[in-house]
Amino acid sequence: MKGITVNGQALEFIHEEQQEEQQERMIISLLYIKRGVAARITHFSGGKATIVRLHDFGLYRGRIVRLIKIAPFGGPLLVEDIEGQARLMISQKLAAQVFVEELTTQMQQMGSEYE
Amino acid sequence: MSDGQGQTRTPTPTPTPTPSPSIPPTKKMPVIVLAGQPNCGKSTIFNVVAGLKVNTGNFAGTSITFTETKVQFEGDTFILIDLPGTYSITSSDMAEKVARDYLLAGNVDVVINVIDTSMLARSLEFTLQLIEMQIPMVVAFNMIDEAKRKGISVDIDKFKHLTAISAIPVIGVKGEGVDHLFKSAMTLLRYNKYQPILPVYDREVEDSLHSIIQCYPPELHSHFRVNERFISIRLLEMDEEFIKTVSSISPSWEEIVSKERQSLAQKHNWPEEEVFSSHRHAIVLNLYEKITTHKRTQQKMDLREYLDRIIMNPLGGLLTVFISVLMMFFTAFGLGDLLSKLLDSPFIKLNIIIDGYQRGIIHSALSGLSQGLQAGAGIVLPYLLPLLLLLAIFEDTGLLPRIAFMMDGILHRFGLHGKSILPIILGYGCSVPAIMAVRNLETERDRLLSRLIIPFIACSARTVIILGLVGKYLGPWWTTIVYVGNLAISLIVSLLLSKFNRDISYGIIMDIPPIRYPYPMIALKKVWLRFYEFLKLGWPIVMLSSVALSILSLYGIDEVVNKILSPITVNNRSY
Ligand SMILES: Nc1nc2c(ncn2[C@@H]2O[C@H](COP(=O)(O)OP(=O)(O)OP(=O)(O)O)[C@@H](O)[C@H]2O)c(=O)[nH]1
Ligand SMILES: [Mg+2]
Repeated sequence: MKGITVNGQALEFIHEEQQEEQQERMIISLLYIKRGVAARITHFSGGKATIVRLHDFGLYRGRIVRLIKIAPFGGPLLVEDIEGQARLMISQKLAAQVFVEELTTQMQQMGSEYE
Repeated sequence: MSDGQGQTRTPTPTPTPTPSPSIPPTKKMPVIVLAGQPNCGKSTIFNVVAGLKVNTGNFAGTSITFTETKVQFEGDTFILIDLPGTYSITSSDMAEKVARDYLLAGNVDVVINVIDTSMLARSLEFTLQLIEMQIPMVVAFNMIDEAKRKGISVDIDKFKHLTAISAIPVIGVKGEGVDHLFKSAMTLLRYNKYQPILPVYDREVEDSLHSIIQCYPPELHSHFRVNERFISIRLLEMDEEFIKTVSSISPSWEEIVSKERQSLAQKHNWPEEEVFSSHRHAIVLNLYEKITTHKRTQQKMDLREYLDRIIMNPLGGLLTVFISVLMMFFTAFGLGDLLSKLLDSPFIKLNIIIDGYQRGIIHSALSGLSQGLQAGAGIVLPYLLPLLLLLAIFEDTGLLPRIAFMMDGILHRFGLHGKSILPIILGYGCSVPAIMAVRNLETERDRLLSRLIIPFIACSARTVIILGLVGKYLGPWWTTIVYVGNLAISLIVSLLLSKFNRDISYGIIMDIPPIRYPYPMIALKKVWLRFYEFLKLGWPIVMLSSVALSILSLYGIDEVVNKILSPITVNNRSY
C-alpha cells in the first residue's frame, strides 16, 4: 500500500481510506478544510518522494496548519505552518495527499452528527 | 538534544594532532562553506565579505550553483563557497544535489550553517543533519530582525550549551554580526577543536543504529568520506542515493539496515519512509522549544501585511502584475528618454572633434567608434539601467513568488505551473541565468518545457531594441502590446509542447517568503553586477561591429551588402 504515486488508482485509495477513518475522527484531506481553521496533520498518502518533500517544508505528522486562501482558477493553496512560522504554496494535487483533522470546529461537527 | 550521552567524537581526522595557533602552512588553502535552507541569506552574507559577487533574491533558489571566492580575513586567506540552498540532505532537485555533493565530497574545512531564525523550527532539521555529518561547524542565526518582528526570540547561549557548537546572531542585509561569524569560523580552523553533542534518538532507534554500525562493512570506508553513523542514518532514512551506492558495494549490509528499518516502523506503527525522520523531528522540536520563546504578538497590520493582502487577492494580484509591467516600460521609457537627452550634447562635441580629422581610414574608424559609443550610451544604457533596477527591486521584495502563486491556476492551462514563472520572469532580465534557474524545477518535464520557452521571452537586450525602436516611434502602449504578444507566443508554444508531455509530478510546494523592503544599496549593487556584464560583453561587440561597418562603408562595401539584401529591406523602407 505504500509508495503510491498519484494516478487514478491512488486517488481511489485515498478515498477509501478517508471513508474508513472518517467514522472515528473527522479526518479530511487538506484540500477540504475551511479557511482560517487550525488543523493537525494526521498522515500522508503518496510515496517516499512526496513525504520527503513535505517533511522538507516542515509538514510532519502532528504539525498544525491553517489554510489562508486558495488561488484563483483552481490554483494552489496558501497554507501557514503555525508553529514553524512559514507560509507555503501547495498545489491541489499535493494537498490532496495531506490528511488533517480540524481542531477548533471538531466539536461542532461531532455535535451535528448527533442531531 | 536530550543529555548528550557522551556521543561526542572528534571530527574528520586531521594531519596536525596538536592544536596550532595558525593554519598549518603545509595544508592547502582552507575551505569555508555557507550552507543552509533556501532563502536563508547565504548569498547575502557571502556578498558582505566577498564584495558583490552573487545575486540574491527573496525567493527560494536564487543560487543554483556554487560560487567560490578567495577571502582575506585578518591576515588569513581562505576560500569561501556559497552553496545553493537545500532543505535537507535527502535532496531532490538539482540545485540541492549540488549542495549535498559538495558537502559530501570531504573537502570542506568549516561549514557555516546559515539559519533563517524567523523559521527556526524548520531550519533546525537541516542543522541537525549537518551536526551528524560532523564537519566542523558554526551556526549563523540570520534574520534576527525578521524573527523579532514575528515575536520569536532565541536563547543562543542555550543553543551553544546544548549542542557545544558556536553560534552567532547575524543580520545579513545590514552586515551585522558577519565579522564575528567569520572570526569564530577562523577560530575553528585554527584550533580544530570541534566536539559537538550529537543528537541522541529514542532507545529503540539508538539500539538499531548500534547494531547496524556493529556490522558496518569496511569496504565502505574507502567509498564515503563521512562517518559510519551518518551513513547508517542515511540508510535508515531511506535515502535512495545512498541505498543505491551501498547495495552495489555491500548488499548484505543494506539488507540488515532494511530489516532494522522495517522493525522500527512496525514498533511505532508508522510507514517505513517516515519513521526515522519523524524521530529526528521530535528531537528538533525538543531543541526548538528549549531555546525559543514565542511572544504571541498580535500580528500588527503594518504596511507589509497590507501590501501582502492586496497582492494575494485575485483582483489586486492581477492589477499588481499589470502595473508592474507597465511601470517597467514607463520608467524605462521616461527615465531612458531623459538620460539619452542628457548624453546628447557631449556626443555632438565629440563628433565635431572627429570631423576635424582628414577623411580616410582613421576618420572612419574613429567615427565608427564614436557611433558605437553613442549606440551603447544613448540607446542601451538609458533603457537598460531602469529595467535592471526594477528587476532588482522585484527580486528582493518577494513579489515574484506571489506572482507565481496567483498565476499558477492560469499557467496550468498552458501546461506550466507557478514555479516555472520564476525563470520566465528572470528571462526578462537575461535568458542565460533564466535557463540556469530552470534547474530549480523539480521534474525533467518542467525543466524541458521552461527551457524551450525561455528563448521566446524578450530579454533585456531585446527589450532595449523593442523600447528603442517601438518605444521611440510608437510609444509605450505599443511597446506593452508587443511585449504581451511576445508572452502570448511563449504560452502557445508551451501549450503545444505540453500536449506531447503530460505533467506527472506529485505536485508543487513552495515557500512564500515575507514581503521585504528592498535595501537600496543591495539593489544598486545588483544593478551594477548585471550592468557590468553588459559592459564586459555586450558593448565591445557593438563598438567593434560599428567600427567594422564604418570602415566597410569607406570602401563602399556596405552598398554591395545593401543591394544583396534589398529584396528584403527595400519594401520596409518605402513606408
Ligand atoms: N530582513 C532580513 N532580510 C534578509 C537578511 N539576510 C538576507 N535577507 C534577505 O533575504 C533574501 C534571501 O537572501 P539570499 O542571500 O538570496 O538567500 P540565499 O540563502 O542565498 O537563497 P538561495 O540562494 O535561494 O538558497 C534576500 O531578499 C535578502 O535581502 C536579514 O538578516 N534580514
Ligand atoms: Mg543564494
